[in-house]
Amino acid sequence: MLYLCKVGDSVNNTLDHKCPNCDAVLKFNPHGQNWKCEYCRSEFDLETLNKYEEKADKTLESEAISPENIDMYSCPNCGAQIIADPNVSTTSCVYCRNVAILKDKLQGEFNPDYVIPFRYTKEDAINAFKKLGKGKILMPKEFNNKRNINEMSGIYIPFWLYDYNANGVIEADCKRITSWRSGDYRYTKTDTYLATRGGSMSFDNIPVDGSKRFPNDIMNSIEPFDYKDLKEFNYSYLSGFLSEKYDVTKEEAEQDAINRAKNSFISEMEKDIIGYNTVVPIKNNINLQNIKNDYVLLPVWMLNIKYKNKIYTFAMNGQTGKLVGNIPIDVKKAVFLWFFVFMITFGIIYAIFYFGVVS
Amino acid sequence: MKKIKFFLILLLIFIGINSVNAFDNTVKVYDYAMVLTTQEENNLKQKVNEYIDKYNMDMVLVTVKYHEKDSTKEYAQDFYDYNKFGLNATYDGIIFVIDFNFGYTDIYISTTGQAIRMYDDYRINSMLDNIALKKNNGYYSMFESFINDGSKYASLGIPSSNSNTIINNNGDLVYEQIIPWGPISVTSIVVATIVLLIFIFKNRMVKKSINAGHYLNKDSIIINTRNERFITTHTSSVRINDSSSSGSSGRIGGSSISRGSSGRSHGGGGRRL
Repeated sequence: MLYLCKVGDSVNNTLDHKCPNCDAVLKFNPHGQNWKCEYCRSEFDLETLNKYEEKADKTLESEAISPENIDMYSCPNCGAQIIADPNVSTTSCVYCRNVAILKDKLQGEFNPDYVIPFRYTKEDAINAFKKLGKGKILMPKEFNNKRNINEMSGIYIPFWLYDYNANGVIEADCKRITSWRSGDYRYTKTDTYLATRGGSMSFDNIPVDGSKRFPNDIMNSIEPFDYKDLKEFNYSYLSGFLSEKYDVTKEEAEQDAINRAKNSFISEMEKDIIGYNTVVPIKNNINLQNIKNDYVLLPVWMLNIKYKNKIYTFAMNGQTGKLVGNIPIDVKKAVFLWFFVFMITFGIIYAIFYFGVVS
Repeated sequence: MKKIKFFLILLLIFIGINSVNAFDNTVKVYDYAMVLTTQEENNLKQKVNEYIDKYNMDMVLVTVKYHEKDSTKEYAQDFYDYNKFGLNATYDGIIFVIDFNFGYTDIYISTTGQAIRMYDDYRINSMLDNIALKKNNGYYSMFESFINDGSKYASLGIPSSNSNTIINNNGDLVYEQIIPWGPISVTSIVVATIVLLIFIFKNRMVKKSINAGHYLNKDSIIINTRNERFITTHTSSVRINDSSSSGSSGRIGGSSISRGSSGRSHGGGGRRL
């Protein structure tokens, strides 16, 4: 059920689903890909909830959304007033921690085309963080302790997706090196060629982060998302999670996608040049035709880890579970590792020399 | 009584046979070709013993008319090895043979153990030159020249050409074990640093993507232009420095070495006069 209430004279344009059975707030259940009531354990699919939304919408048709009041909302759970950042489309109540969807923030040009729902829960993200130390021997012992998690949020982050048709030509400096021995001399012959490759290819859904708030390199690092799970946008998917609207336009974000597409075009053409020892692209002329753009919300668990008074940001792909972030280095472990490897290497080389000479 | 006499005779025969077969390697001068007088032999023995006492290396002088070896070199090496000449654990010593077996006067100097280091090719050739010059003065003079030159070089010590060599426990001449501490340290530092960097980069999981390979539609790739144009060619050459190591024969430091049939290493050289 769509739940809206007033704040003063303005329309309260927060959105939440309430359980049709007990009226408690419903949250999206990533494992079941449905909505679950934490109080009466009832579960609802999207179709069922939509019926309730339609009914609620009718009761609110006469009420207009006032854009002048979009920064102040009333918590649908406890009634407290919430002041939200202009760029967030879902926020949490500081009193009851309930997550409220600010529906008007996602309307008009900010209405996403698609959304990929969360598949991983908060517990999954915590467990992934706890397993972070595997194979990372320089990580401080206590770093991935659960109690270091300073802040953790499941956020739908705005992304632009770009489709391109690319066609063009690249030129590469290629060297073929042959070597042979004759008498007391070794000869090395280097033949240089100019290779040209031309053709076309297409790219589907190159993602570029549409929010200035989140570092692009972290957002790059949690790629790729599986677009088979893309769903037509529905507010219902946002329940229980924070979300943002874009503050980087598709024109501003596009250069990143163009660069990535061009680099991949060059790389694919380079792969076709075989039979040389070195291939160095020196010139290219690539045309990209933008076929389609989509504005989507993609699921990300953001973890802020506080360790020795410093904040480390980690992000987990809410769909695939890929966790990324820069782990601090334990200096003592690093020094020990360096000396250990030094001693082992020194010992092995010394033994090779010693026994080599003696034998 | 008759039985006792019989056993005594048998005992004397047995002792006699053994005394004929036993080789006395303390004599040091063996004139099988009978080219020296007794006096000359005694003089040479005295000089040889002085050399042995002074330089702690064995010295053997031989003249031979008949043998079944293929060369004077082989004869000299086997005579020295199988008759157990040599001092110390590495059988240090030098043997000089005058061989008439092949219808010529062949001379050969063979060195073993520390003598391989002491008498490098230069010294061996110098000694052979001087011996050859004494040919007309008689065989005694040739032996005398050998002993004198041998003593002279022994008193000079190890030649510079063999200063970086040693005789190992097997009696082989090898290059001195110089541990290259610098290169070992540098290599170890580089390896340790590379390993450390690998583990540091494992902690850096955040990387900016620079390509869109994940989003490339592989079926859409069409390559319709393929062209390769020859631009230029260049050929360079580098001289190869082969550093040959010791094998059955070869050269280490300043000494040519070979392995005798006993398996022991020897240096030395010879001439046909």
